[in-house]
Amino acid sequence: MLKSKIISYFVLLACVVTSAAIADESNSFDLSLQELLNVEVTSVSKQKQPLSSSPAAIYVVTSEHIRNSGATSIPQVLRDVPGLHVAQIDSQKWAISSRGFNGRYNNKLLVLMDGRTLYSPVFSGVYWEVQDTLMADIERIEVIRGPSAAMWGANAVNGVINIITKHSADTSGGYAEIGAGDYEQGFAGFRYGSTLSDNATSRVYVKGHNKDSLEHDTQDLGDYLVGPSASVDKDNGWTHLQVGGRVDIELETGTSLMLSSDWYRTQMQQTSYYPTLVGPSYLEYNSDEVNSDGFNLLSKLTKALSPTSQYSLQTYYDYAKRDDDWYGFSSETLDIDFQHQLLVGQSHNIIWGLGYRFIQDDFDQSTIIVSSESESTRTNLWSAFVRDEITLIDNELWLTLATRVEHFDYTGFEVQPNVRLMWQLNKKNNLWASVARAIRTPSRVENNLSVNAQNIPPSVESPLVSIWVAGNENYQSEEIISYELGYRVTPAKKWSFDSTIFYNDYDQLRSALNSTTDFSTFPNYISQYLTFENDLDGYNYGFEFSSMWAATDDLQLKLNYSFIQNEFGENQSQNTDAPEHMLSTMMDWSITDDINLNLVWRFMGDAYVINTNDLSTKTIDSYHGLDIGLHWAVTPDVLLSAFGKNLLHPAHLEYEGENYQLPYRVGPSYYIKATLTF
Amino acid sequence: MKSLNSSRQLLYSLLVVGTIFFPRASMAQNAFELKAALTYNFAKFTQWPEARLNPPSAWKICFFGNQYHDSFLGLSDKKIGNQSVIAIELSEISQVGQCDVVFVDTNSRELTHRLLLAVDNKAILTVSDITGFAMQGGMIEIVEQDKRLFFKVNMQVLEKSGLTISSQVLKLALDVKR
Repeated sequence: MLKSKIISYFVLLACVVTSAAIADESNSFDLSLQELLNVEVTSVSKQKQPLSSSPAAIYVVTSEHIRNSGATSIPQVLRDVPGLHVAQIDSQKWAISSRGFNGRYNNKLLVLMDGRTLYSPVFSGVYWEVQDTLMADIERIEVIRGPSAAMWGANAVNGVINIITKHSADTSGGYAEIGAGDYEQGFAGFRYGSTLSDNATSRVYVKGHNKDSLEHDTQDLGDYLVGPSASVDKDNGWTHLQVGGRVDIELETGTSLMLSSDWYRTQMQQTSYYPTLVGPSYLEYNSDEVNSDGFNLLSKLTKALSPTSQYSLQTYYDYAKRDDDWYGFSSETLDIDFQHQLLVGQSHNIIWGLGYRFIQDDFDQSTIIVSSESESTRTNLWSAFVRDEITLIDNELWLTLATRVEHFDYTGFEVQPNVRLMWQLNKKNNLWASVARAIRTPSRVENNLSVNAQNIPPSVESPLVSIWVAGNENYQSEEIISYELGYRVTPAKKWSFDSTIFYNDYDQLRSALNSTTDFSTFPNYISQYLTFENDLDGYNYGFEFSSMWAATDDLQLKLNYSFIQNEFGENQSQNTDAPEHMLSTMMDWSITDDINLNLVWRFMGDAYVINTNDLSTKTIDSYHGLDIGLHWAVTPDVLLSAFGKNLLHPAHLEYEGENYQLPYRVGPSYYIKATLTF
Repeated sequence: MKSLNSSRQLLYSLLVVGTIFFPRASMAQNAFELKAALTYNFAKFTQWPEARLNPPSAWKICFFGNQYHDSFLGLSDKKIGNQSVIAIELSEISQVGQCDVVFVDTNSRELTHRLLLAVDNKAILTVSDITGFAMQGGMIEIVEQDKRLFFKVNMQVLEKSGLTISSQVLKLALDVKR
């Protein structure tokens, strides 16, 4: 009896205490200023998942999630974004896409960091391994699924990823992180932010890491490749070093200037194979060190002209160089972008802008990639856009009309319009719809390079056939017309649901169906040239769902699911597929003020890759995995963390590089990390 | 005996649920509430120009940032002097003319350029937790440090707009720019 009395007492106490805590919440307005300043703030700047009110399928990764996930690179944190297919190819390489068309050279996802394009229009894609910054300096990552080329420009066909770093006023003082584990062999980062003067703040950072190789299993290789690859070194580890900084200056009230710069050097081990004219396999594996360097310098002036009008002028220079085994490539980009936002009357929120981009590249040919133009080429891109967000009914109905006109040297004029409608039925429910056209501009490979994809060994009927895919200067842009419908509901304060259905109609997709044969080298071998053309089309449709439950201030749960169905003909010369089903759940729990537990479990359905060398399709089996992050704030300035990634599932393929690459398996990995602020 | 056991289990589970869902029984409070309450206090200790006081009307405390929606709604039954307080969520800078106080949250940094032009030399008290806000030309900047809130005051801007802040408040400020 005594025991149960004691228990009842404790329960009563617990109830009193908890109700006191709840009652406290509404009492802060009765506290005096002095008292308010003495109250302890529970969760230091705890961010809620921002609920978007824009008429697009948008998801925002917060800086808090980046910290809790422990991601050491941008691709790792993108794994947690609903609707994105993020797959690791080897230790360095990633394939990331939204709504299909994944690949190492996925050309339909535009990626920007602070307004600077990380998407290389020269080869049409993103080298994820060299796109980096101190993760703690990222303010947020906005991911828009679906086309938004009218606002962001060409190549925003299936989505846009917009990485935004913190204002330097928000990164004052010192920050240091260091960690190590098995795959993460060692990483460190340091930042120092300071106030330069009354109106200027700055920061500088340095970061570096050393990552281990992923393992290769010969079972993942086609039979004809096992022998030739047997003795080659399969190391794919890498190191990356990057330094950078940023300065923000308030020139006068309403006018600010931002300057930023980064430099990096990456050294990667890579094993690839080439077609050769030497039997018996007519291909040769080689292991080599690939070096990549980059530098950029960006300035952005923002000036408010009046309370309803503001412009920005952004200019940047970007240099990127990569010395691959079988080609060398460098590019210099100069980009100028002007945007003016103005409110006209009560109902028009207008943004218009002008842009110019100049790219000079330099290409080192090899026996398997040759250029029909001079090694160095120059391209110009001119663009103009306007977007008008019209309030049709106050706080209820908005119509957005937008269009962009671009002129690119390879393809001439292109128009990319977009119509969006947003209907807020009431405080809890809103609906949106969008119809958009976007294009994907040709890369230099598609325009004027020829690549030796494969050599077919001689047989009784035929000599050795050397197969090339050849660029075509008449090759046009690929086109998408996309229809989207979205519904968001917040049935109660702590619940929210976001869903989208889409139908994408693709036209003028890349094909390589017509060939010409060169017999001049007969009987030693003959060469067959498959020319890039725009003869394919197809469509996909799907459904995306994400939900959040803020169970308490300390416990947040999320559930995400996406489904896609692809209908493309045979003989596609790029991967169009995506996992049909993707499912993930996340839990972010502040167990106490000092201890946080972060769990992410995900399931990826079967994925498909097309080997562009021989156009064979391969299925990558479905997999699931669990990521765990546990954090302990020893003091307000010292955080110790332990992470486990890709747990619960043995090492498996997530993706396979399209060209000349060996497949590697991603398995469980662990690391620990210490973070210090001062 | 059996019923005692099951009631004990129930009590235990209640206790566990209580500690999971309400783990903090301290005086600690959520930053959104506190910042809203601070904003209200700043308004209370501001001396407004005569033109604002006569004729008297309700005080309009405006805010940007929908994360603050619930926190500012708690103001609706408060008073400053004899007048009631109205909390208004804004989405556009062009709406600030109606406000006595404007709070901008740290996620709306890109709005500050136009906001500061819009309130320039007007008797509108600007409060924000954007780092560097007071330096940029805002009036009061809320700073979070070591789990406590502090604030900085830019007197130059206050004086230009005809507002005066009580010396009691200034004494508590982390920094006063004169």
